Amino acid sequence: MDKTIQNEFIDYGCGFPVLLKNVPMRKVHGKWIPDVNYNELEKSILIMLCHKPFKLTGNEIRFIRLYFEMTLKEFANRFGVQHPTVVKWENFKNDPTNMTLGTEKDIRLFLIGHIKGKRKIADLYTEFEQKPFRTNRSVEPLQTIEIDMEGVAI
Amino acid sequence: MHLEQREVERNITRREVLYVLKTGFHEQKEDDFDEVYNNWHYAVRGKSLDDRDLRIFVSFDEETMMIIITTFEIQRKTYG
Repeated sequence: MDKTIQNEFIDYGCGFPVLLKNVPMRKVHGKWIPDVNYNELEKSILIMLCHKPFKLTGNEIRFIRLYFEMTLKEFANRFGVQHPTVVKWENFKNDPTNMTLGTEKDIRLFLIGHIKGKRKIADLYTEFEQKPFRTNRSVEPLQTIEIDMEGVAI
Repeated sequence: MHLEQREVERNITRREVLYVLKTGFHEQKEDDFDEVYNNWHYAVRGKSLDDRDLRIFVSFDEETMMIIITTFEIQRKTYG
C-alpha cells in the first residue's frame, strides 16, 4: 500500500479547519487520505482549544458538545444556560461567540478536567488569570488551529 | 475516519458520523456494490444528537479496516 508524508493537510472533520503538519498519508481506493488516529487528533485539538488565546467560535463549541455526546439541552444544563442560548452560540459558526468570559472559562476547565486530569485545572485557571483570552473580531475572521502530527500518537 | 469536503459543506462532522455508526442500523436495501474496487458499500442510517437523520455509506478495506464513502442527510418530506 502506498504511503507518504504530506507537509500540510487541512482537516475539516471537526466542523472548522485544522491545519495538520507532517501528516502520514495512505492511498486508499485511489485517493490519498490522512493515516492518523483521529481520537488522538481530536484530543489534541481539545487541549489546544483550552489554551486558545482567543474566544471560542460557534463551531468549536459545537465540536466540544458533540465530542462529549451531549444534546443541546444537556450542554445547556451543564453550563447553567437555556438550550436556545447554546443554539445561538453555535450559530456564530466560525466567529467568536458572545458567551460571558465566566462561562467560557467554565467550558475550558470542563475540557481540561476531562482530558488531562484534575491537577491541570489549577494550572489552566492560573493561565486564564495571567493571560485572559481576547475577542478577535477585529483581527482575523478565523484563527486556524495548527497541529504537528509528529507529536500525535498514530 | 476521513471526511471529504462535501461532508463539510453539508455541515456534517466526524463526531456526528461516529455517533450514527454507534447508534444507527444497517439499511440493507440501500447497500451498493462498487464494481471498480469490487467491494460493497454498506448503508448505515440513524439520528444524530441534534436529531438529524443521516445515511452513511461505509466500505471495508483490508488495511484501514473501515472507510467512510459518503454521508447524506435525509430530508424530511413535507406535504401540503
